[in-house]
Amino acid sequence: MRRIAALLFLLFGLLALYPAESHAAEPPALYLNGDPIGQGSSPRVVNNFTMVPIRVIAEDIGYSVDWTPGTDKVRISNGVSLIELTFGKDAALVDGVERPLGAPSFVDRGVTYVPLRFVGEQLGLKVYWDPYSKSVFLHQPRPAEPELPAAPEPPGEEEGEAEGDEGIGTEDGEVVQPVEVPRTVPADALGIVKDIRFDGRLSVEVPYEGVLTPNEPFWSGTKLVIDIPHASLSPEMMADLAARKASQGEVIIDIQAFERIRYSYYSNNPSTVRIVFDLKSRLDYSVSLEEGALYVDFASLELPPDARKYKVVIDAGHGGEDPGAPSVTGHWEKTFNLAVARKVYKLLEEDSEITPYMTRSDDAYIGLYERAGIANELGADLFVSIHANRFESWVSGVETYYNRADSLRLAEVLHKHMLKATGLPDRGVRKANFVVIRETTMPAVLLESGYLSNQKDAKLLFTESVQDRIAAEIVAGIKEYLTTYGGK
Amino acid sequence: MLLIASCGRGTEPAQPASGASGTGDGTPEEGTIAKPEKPEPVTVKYYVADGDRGGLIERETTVEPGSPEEVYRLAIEALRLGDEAAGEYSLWKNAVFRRVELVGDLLFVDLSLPGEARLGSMGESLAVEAIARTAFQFDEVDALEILVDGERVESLMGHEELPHPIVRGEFVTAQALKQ
Repeated sequence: MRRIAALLFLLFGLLALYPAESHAAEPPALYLNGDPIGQGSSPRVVNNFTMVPIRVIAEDIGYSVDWTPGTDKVRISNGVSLIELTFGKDAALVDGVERPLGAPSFVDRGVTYVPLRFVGEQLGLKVYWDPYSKSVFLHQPRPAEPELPAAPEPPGEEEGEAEGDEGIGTEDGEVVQPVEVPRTVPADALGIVKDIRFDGRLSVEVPYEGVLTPNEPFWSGTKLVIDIPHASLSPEMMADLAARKASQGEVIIDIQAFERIRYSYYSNNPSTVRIVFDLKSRLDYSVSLEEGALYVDFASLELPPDARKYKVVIDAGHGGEDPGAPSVTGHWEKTFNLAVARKVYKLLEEDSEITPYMTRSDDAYIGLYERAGIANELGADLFVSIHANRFESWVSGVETYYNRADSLRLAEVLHKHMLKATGLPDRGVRKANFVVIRETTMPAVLLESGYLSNQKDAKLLFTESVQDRIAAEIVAGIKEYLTTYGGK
Repeated sequence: MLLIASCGRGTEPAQPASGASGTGDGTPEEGTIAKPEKPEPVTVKYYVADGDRGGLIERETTVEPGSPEEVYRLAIEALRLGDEAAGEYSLWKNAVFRRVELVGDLLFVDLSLPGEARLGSMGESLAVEAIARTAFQFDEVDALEILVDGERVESLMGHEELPHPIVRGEFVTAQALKQ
């Protein structure tokens, strides 16, 4: 009991040491191998150290984490190495050797936090901190799988063809070690793949000899992978690869979502043929093994609309009983906002990579939280709210607002395009607390396109050709942003 | 304007600055007819936008409330003052304050926003800050409930949320966080 009391006191003391931390605006997000983890126990920044929850990370990569109640020690082990942490202590025992932590570990609400750097060093994770999205990315370098250790590569080819020869990777796309392409059909190959051909429509035929025992296909991103153990490529195909000094062959398709097929003698233990279908999106398919040929049939090669890469939400400010500001030329702001939003929407629809959405497509009032909620539920990549301004008649120009740090770059890009579109004075990129840019969970900006209280601005903003130009520049800005920085 | 007059209890609203004249003219006329006793002049603070909308400026004016509870309405009305020649702009000059009343520690302000009273995003933000600061200069006001035409609205001008009510402590904290 005394021990627990002491521990509780210790924990309480630790918490008291970091009072400011609980008011931190946005805890950083934590990703492990691309997946968000640690919900409810986000990383903390304490005295300039990023502290991360150790249990969720360690367990995810195959360690066990044990805390014996009544002690102040945690044991983290994967059966090979053992890490012992003592709460509040600035060092850990790694296989019995004391290693500095950099900052003391601590416990809050049952979650143990240790410095991020320690996790990277001791659990062998690559650590990447993105200051803009305030996210911590951990990546576990995947060892080559014992059964599929190698991509074939003719001997002596290690240095050549680095480009365009990314290799058929392991499941997570890492390049693997070379395996020698056999000159003859290996003894353990029960089946021989003779060719890989596309019928020009929906079907891929893989003729073979012998017995073919393909594994269940699996997806790696939008790549469909089929491994065929105990199989080999035909001597002709292997000779062809050798002649081209290539580790893999490919069949270029380039029809809709179907880019190409790649194939290789992937492993020699056992002999394995790997066939990869490079697609732009996961497509419905079926595999049928018939005598003499394996077939992979796609239901359609069309890129599904919801598989477009990016979701962009366009928010026409105000609407319905909220008219926004009046212009000195006798129009309402809500009319301008909707007109430009519609034009932006139309232009974005033409882009095969972007699916646009509008929070309102007519003169209706939508609540501010509702607008943000629409984008959040969609899991949108970007949110752009279109407005026009009003103050005193002499004020003129363009302002672009953001709230969260992850939105600053989008604000800067779009602001530049808005200045170009309107030719109005630059009144700057500014931070503000407006609901739609604060409550959204993706990069979000609010554009104040010009001042409806100013004669020149108002005239401009209600000129159709200028609205077209503004829409085109907003779209150019969105594309520039997505090309440069990607989606969410 | 009619609305104001009808609920004005004999005191005229503080007059909007005419733009031409200097400071100190914001004192409402003592239009009170047949007052039982001479009102004590009270100095109240109000807030206007700094010329290029960089922020708010604090200003003072003297009002003569006909009764102790009238001081709140006169302070809120003072938000419509602004010495534009000096680069100070009222954020509320086109708004209509229909009712200003202290109930317990909650100050009710029921107002109308004609078109020309509707500002852009930053204007709205400053306008809300100005009215809240004006209300919270009175220690007895713990919260400010703003209604538009008698209704609770999500947002005054469509950019920022309007808390119901604006609580002094939360407002002060939010202002501190802004800096």
